[in-house]
Amino acid sequence: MDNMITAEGVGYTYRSKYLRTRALSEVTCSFERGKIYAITGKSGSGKSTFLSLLAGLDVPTEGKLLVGGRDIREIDRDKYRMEQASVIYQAFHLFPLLTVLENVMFPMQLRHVPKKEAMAQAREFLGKVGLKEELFRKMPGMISGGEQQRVAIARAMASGGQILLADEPTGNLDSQNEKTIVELLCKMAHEENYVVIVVTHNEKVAEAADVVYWMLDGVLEVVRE
Amino acid sequence: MKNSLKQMLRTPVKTVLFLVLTFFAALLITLGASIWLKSYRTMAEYEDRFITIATVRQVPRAFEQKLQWDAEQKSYQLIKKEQFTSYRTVEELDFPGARYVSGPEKRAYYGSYTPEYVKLWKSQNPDRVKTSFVIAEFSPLEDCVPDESVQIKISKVVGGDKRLTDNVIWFCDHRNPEPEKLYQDKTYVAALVSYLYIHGTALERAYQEAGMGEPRIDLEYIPDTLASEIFYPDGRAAEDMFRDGQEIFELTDGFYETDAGRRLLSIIETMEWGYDIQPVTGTNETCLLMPFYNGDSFITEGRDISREEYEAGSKVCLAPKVFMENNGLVLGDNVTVRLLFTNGRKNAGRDFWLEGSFSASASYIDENGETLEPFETSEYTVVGIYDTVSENMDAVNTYTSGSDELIVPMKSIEAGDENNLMDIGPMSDRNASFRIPNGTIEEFLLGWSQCDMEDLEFTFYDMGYSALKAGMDDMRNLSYLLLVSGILLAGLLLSFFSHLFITKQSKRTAIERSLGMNVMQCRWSILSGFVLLVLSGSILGCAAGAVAAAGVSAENAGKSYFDTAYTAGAVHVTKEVAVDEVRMEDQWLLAAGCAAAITAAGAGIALYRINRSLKKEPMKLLAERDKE
Repeated sequence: MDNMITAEGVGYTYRSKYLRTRALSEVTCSFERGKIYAITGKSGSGKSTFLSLLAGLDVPTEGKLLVGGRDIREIDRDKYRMEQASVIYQAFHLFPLLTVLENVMFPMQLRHVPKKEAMAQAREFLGKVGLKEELFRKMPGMISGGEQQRVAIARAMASGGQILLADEPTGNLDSQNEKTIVELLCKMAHEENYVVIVVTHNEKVAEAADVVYWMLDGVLEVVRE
Repeated sequence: MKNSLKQMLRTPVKTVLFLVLTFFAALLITLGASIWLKSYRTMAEYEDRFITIATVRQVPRAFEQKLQWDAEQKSYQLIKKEQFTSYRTVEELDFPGARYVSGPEKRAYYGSYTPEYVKLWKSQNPDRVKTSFVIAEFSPLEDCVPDESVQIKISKVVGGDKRLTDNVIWFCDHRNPEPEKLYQDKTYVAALVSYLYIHGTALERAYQEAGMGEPRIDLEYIPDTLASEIFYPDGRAAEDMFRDGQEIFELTDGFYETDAGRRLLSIIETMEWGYDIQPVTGTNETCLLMPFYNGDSFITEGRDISREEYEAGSKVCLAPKVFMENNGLVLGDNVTVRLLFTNGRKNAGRDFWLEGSFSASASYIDENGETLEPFETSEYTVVGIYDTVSENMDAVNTYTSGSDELIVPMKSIEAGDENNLMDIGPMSDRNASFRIPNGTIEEFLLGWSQCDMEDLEFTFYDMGYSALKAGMDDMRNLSYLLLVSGILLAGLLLSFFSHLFITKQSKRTAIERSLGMNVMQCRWSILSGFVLLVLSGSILGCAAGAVAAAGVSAENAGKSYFDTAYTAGAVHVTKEVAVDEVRMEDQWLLAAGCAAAITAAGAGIALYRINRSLKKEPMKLLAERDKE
């Protein structure tokens, strides 16, 4: 198994004019393809900050975060997010004024995939997450939370990367949909060879994970491996 | 951009409202700017065409009353004459704060004695016959006292029209309350001037002879003074032994050797000089002369005397077309000016009438009976030829040019205006004026009110500039109102809708960022849709504004004449002034400028908001639960 992402003594301090807050401290871990990881912890423990670093939306203030063996500081992080890493959120964050199909086509359009091809691939991804054809032309606000999260996963798949980062993906879902999404994430890791990193409070999600981390005050500890 | 627009168009109410409001803001701005431009251009264009001048009049402190006998009325008539303790000088108008374009001037007109040129009167009367003034020897038909019209027979014309010899004419010592008796067997000599109609017994007889028919009422002659007409610079008439003295003399042996005889011979020597006098007016700017200011006189060939020529006192002149034609002169030729006398009271138009006749002096002698000598002779180059058309005959003499009148720079007359004064007087509307910047009449009067000189009166002429400016000011105020409303509306709607479309969409930016769009792409994504909407709205609005402004302009085109009366002034020059429309190309250019400005403002505001949105950390923003 190759290490897709490796954190070596990663730390992060928020700096404002008058305040310095240490959100992450000496985080060392690695994430491999084909596995699903769960990072649990209390609110404000630094989970989302770590996820933000993993998504390339920011860079560590200390230590190294290696992606495919290269320091994340040295790579084009916009391109990294566009081609390698995708994020899904508790609130789904679909474009409310684009249809389900257009939402999934969006990352491909950024990569200048021809419209016809993008549409065909989007349909394929939506099929993979089990969304019915009749929902493709609907606006996100017209479908259920579970369906929206599946669209978000399909959009993540459309980005073409192999890293899926999820921030409380089941937080807004009922138990049935929660189960469906967890299965989908496991399927992506185990069958599609994604590295799936889930930040969650949900025990069921943690149970389904191959590796579980616990984060407390910015320090990451392995709970189960 | 496509996705950005797509998302905007999926909120049609918001988008259409934004578009419509942008349209109206752009319309108001363009209309306001267009009206402002029109008023600005109109004022700028006419600033040069409008000229504001004033004439100055010194008000007399008192009137000198003189009694003069009238033989017809058999009573004394009261003759009132303006009295001044002193004449004001133009230097006294140089009060603190006075702003002049051309400073005050008091003009004299000069008599140039040039028999070598054909004058208008001469060209119309080639045989130079003039019977209104003769010096003659005569006897009454019977012994009589000439206290009324009596008949005399001319035995010899000593000076003047010889055809009067042996003629019987009517005569009256009209202004003498106690005329001496004339005897049939004696011969008398006098300067005789044609006066009014016969009166007294002669008139009654004329009616009796006519019966029921139309009576023949002849003119009578009266004796004229032998005194010189020269004045001293202080305004007094020259001291002359013949002033208020005897006017009718008995012809005796050796009479022409006496003082009176010699004086009559001197008068005879100069009595036809008047026909060869050409009036010359010196000024500091052509427009200060009322005939040129009001447009009755206008240059038809060549050019005006330049400011530099006026200031340098160059020997150049403007000459009347008729004079040039009568003398076979052309532009660029030289005209000889031989100054014989100065008239410091009247203007040339008052004495030399356009139709050719004149009321020039009967004699050109000094108080010693010596003929006047020209005091300055120069050659002037004709740089401009002018013509005169007087539409208002009431204004003739005061406000028209004189016949054959030459206009020269005042400074070109080196001798000044104190030589051989044939008349002298105060500043008046005929001879004193100045020019001030347009629109400064009130300012001038305010400054003048601080000076303690109440005996000067001003009459302003501004060709209606004040009325035009008031109209333009109204237009400008309207344009400001429209502009401010438009700018305010544009500012508010751009702020509000950029908040709706951008700040409220900060999560969209965060999603785009998380999907791999870089900062520039995100910026362009949001900006493009917003700017396209602003651009569309402003193009439509500005185009509508331009069309509306053109419509307003076209509607006003028929009415675009300003009453040129200066309403606050006592007198005005009436000229209709057409105000040009702003060209359609300019309207479109202005509309394009307004659209560009609104779009740039929209882009600026949008960019500011986008940059603020982009400063927010995407992950943090997207981690916020259920706030969208």
